[in-house]
Amino acid sequence: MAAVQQKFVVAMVSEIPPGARKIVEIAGRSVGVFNIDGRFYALKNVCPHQFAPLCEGKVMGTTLPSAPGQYIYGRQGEIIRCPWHGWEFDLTNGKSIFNPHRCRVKAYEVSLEPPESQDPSVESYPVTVEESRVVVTISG
Amino acid sequence: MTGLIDADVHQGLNPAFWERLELPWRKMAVPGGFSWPAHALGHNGTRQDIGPPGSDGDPAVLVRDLLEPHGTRYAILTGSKVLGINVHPNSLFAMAFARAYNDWLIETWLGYDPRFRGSMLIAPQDIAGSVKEVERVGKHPGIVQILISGSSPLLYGKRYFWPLYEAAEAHNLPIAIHPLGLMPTGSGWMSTYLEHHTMLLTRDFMNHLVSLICEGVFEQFPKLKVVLIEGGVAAYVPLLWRLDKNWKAVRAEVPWLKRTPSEYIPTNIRFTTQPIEEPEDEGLLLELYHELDAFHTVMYSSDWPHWDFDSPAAILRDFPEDLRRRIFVENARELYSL
Repeated sequence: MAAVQQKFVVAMVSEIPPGARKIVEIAGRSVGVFNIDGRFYALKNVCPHQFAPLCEGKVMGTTLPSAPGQYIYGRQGEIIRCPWHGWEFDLTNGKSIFNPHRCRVKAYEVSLEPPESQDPSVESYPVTVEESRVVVTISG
Repeated sequence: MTGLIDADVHQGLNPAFWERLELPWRKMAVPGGFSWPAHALGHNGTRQDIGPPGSDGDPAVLVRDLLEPHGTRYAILTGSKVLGINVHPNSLFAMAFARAYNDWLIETWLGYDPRFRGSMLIAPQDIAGSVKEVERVGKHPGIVQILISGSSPLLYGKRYFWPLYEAAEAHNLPIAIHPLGLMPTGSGWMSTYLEHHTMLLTRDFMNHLVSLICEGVFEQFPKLKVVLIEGGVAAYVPLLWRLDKNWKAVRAEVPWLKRTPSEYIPTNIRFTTQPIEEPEDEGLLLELYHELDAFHTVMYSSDWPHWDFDSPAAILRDFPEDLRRRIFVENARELYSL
């Protein structure tokens, strides 16, 4: 059976400025929507470890692979740490840092869609900024 | 079992050793070991059937009492009452002692019987001197590892020791750690031999094992092998569960680890069986051995001539034959290129 795709408008772009997040309820699940430097990402708000609200964790960077005794801090703003046990996940794809191939949180597709066309039957005034909507697509 | 290798055999000191010791130590050093709180045993910790005191310093006794009855193909000699020099406050004495021991080991033991293989001593108090000693005797074909004590004022993952590890790796010599019991717990000394003997074996090894892995020693020296002698086997399984779990949470502290911490065990760590854990149900032991990848990581050891000796005829009898062969023969044969 083909997976059913459902689209949900979760916010206007201005609601989630760069570095910010919004946690929404869609299709019966909690989802965190993040803006990283103008690009939007969405993760299921459940840590695969002990089901903590992952998307309420601290957004930060992490130490990158290095030689013994060397620290290279990077990816600032792209890593979320679970508020309970501190497991780190890549916000851009949901993969854990410690084992990206086997431990991950569900990531959803996010798109920006143009504003809805105005209903001609409604008298309206022209707006100066036409704002895009943040849309999350849930599969299955 | 054909080809049996015994990874922990304590040959005693004998007069030839003291003749080897350089001046002024030959004249100034007081022979004798350290005291354990072993009064509960009613003896000094050696098996009561070996012979009069000092018998363990006679190679013929070792051959007659251990090698012949058990068909031991190789015995890895680990010395007796010598590791205390690893925590001796005088590095000059410690280094002189190690040099004398290594020469004596080669002449008196390795030259006596082709079944003997030796563990060279160094003095951790003097890392540069120890590296020179590895370069001096480490290429001898009968020297198969570098022996250091579980008692150490510094954890073995620390960079202080890395020049030694570099030399060990270059000479293809494993670093073997053997319990000593000359450091207190973090809360002071235990009162009884029961407490002491139960804890010192694994306590120090757990600290060193976690330190070695987390400091990145096996990323820096990927071919280095570390042998934990006389620390048992099963106790490390839950420790490694804990280490792996904690690493998932705070791995950012150790970004140099390219693998889950426990994954360094099969590539870099070896364990010896004695003193074997004895649960009522040996099946439980087998499960824990499997969890530690015993097929690749565990080697039989007897600890001859000590009171807690494990006979190869008596332990692990219900283990699968292929695993028994790995433990009693193959893992040591591969590690020491025998």
